[in-house]
Amino acid sequence: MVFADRVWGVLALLGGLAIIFAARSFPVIPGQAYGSALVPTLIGVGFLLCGTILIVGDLRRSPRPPVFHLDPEAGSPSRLLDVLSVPAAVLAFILLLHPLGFVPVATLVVGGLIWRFRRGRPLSALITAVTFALFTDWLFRHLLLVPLPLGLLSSWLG
Amino acid sequence: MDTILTALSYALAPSTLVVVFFASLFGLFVGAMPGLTATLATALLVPVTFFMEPVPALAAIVSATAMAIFAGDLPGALLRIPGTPASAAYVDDAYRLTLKGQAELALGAGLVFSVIGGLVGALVLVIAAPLLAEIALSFSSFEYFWLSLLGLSCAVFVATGKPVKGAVSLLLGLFISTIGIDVAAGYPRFTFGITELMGGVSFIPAMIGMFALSEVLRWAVGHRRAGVLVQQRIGNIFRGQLGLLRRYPLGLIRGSLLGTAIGILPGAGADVAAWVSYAVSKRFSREPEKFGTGHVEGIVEAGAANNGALGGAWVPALVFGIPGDSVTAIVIGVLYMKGMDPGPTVMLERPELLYAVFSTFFLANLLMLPFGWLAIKCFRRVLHVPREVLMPAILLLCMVGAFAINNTVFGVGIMLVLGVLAFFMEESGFPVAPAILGIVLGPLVEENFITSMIKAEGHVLAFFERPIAAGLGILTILVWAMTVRRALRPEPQIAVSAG
Repeated sequence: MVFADRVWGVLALLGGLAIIFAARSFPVIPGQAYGSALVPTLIGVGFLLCGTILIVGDLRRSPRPPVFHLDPEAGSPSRLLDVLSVPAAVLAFILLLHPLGFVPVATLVVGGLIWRFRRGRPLSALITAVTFALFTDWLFRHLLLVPLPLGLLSSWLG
Repeated sequence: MDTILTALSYALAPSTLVVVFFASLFGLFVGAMPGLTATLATALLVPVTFFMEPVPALAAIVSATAMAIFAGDLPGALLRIPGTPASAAYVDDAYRLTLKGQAELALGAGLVFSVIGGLVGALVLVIAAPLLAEIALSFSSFEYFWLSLLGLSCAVFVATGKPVKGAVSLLLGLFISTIGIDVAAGYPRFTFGITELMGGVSFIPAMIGMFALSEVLRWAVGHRRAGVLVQQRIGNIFRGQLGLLRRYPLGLIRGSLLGTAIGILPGAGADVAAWVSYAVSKRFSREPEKFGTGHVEGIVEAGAANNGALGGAWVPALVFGIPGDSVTAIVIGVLYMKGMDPGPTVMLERPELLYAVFSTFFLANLLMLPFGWLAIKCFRRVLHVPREVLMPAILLLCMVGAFAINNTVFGVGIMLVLGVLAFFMEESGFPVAPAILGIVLGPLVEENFITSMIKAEGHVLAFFERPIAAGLGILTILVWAMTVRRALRPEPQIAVSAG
């Protein structure tokens, strides 16, 4: 999953411009020449410089690499689903942690991923996921005293 | 003397020993798993260490990284897949020895010389850190500014791939470090009204995302090489090691010291140490033609170097607060969390804590002998752990770790965004370590830069008026010049490999 250097170059240019523009609105401390805006502005200038080098370097290459290159193996629909399932699992964790509680959401996320990666055996995935979820809950909530939300299981695990 | 005794009582306390025991097993497991790095081991450990006392917390990191770097040799020798990047330099020699039926010699050399290299690194740390701290006490903002800039510049210089990509990664880290309330003016920068960003981007979720989540994504995208063991039974790994010690004493000393010295250099870590030592070993060998064909000499020297680098990297981290590699970048974050702000004053204020940490270096390296032997014996079982199960478990630990720091899912969101970004960056040939160094060193660079600019009233030459500052400044400019020279060299016509 490779983006060409010119794509990164454009992102760096846009990022650099945005940083410099935002830094111009930072307040100046009376009597001081160097304040909140100085370092972000220098970083912005650095991004502009690097962005330009990346774009020029990439445009000079022959043959010019494609804007986006996907490994043939990684480009198969099933492999793409594997990759997408990882951020989807994290998003599910973020959205469902408080409503469902840690153990159910961890079971769901880990079980779902094992099932997806193994292409089957849902019961074994579920048993493994429950074991992981309970172990992690014990480690973090009981041993390290992290207040992991109990959610649906508040009456059982509380 | 009292300090040393107190330090030993901390280091040998039952709670510390239990932590070292489990962290060592964890480090061995992660290192032995191809593709999982010592940095990932540290990233996953940090949320757990967050809830520990300073000494066990740091001891956990020391023992896990030392074990992981050694354990990286196992899949390297038996499968030709280096477990960690630090083992990549001599993987061909180790694997070819295995093909010749000499896996014991390769693995034993990896273990014994890792231990010796690690002990030398620890010794240098004990001697050099207090001496350098004395010098560092006289440092002003000018010296600290140049030193932190030198660390960042080295990170770009030694990074793989094009230097401009290392620079972009570094700028990204520096930018992330500016998010939140500016310490000098108390003004919220780049927070977009989000309350959680007022205190800045939490370092731990950022680090977990960039080092661990990106690793899970990379595995999912298809870098799944299954290994086949060519030698099923491993015999006595200690046989023949004394002979190697007698045959290559110079290589061992050179590897240990060079590795430690490279570790001390800001930005360069165990992997760079191993590559350089392997090249040096070949250069001075009487049989350079045998390197790469299953010759043990390179393993002796580079194996000692990569573990020596671990101790070395802690020197600038503890004395100046400048990380020697990505692991110590994480360590600096942990030190701040534990109220042990790195710098020369910590040597004066809390010497017993530091000496306790130093002691754990010796402890971890000595424990490596029995633990390493055990790991070699059990390696076949480790290989059988299915990745399809392991990766979701790692992801769960990442999410809980990112949540646990502030008990909010916002941290998990930060981990997700930066993890996905780091994944695409690495796929496109951008190194990630400079970004982490930028996040850690950014506040230090900015604070010292602004203070120095105010003191100098804008005169740039004032940055070179003090002798040490001038020396560091010139060194930094030299690193930049070499980086630009490297960038201008014609690009070799090979595909850029990700990561």
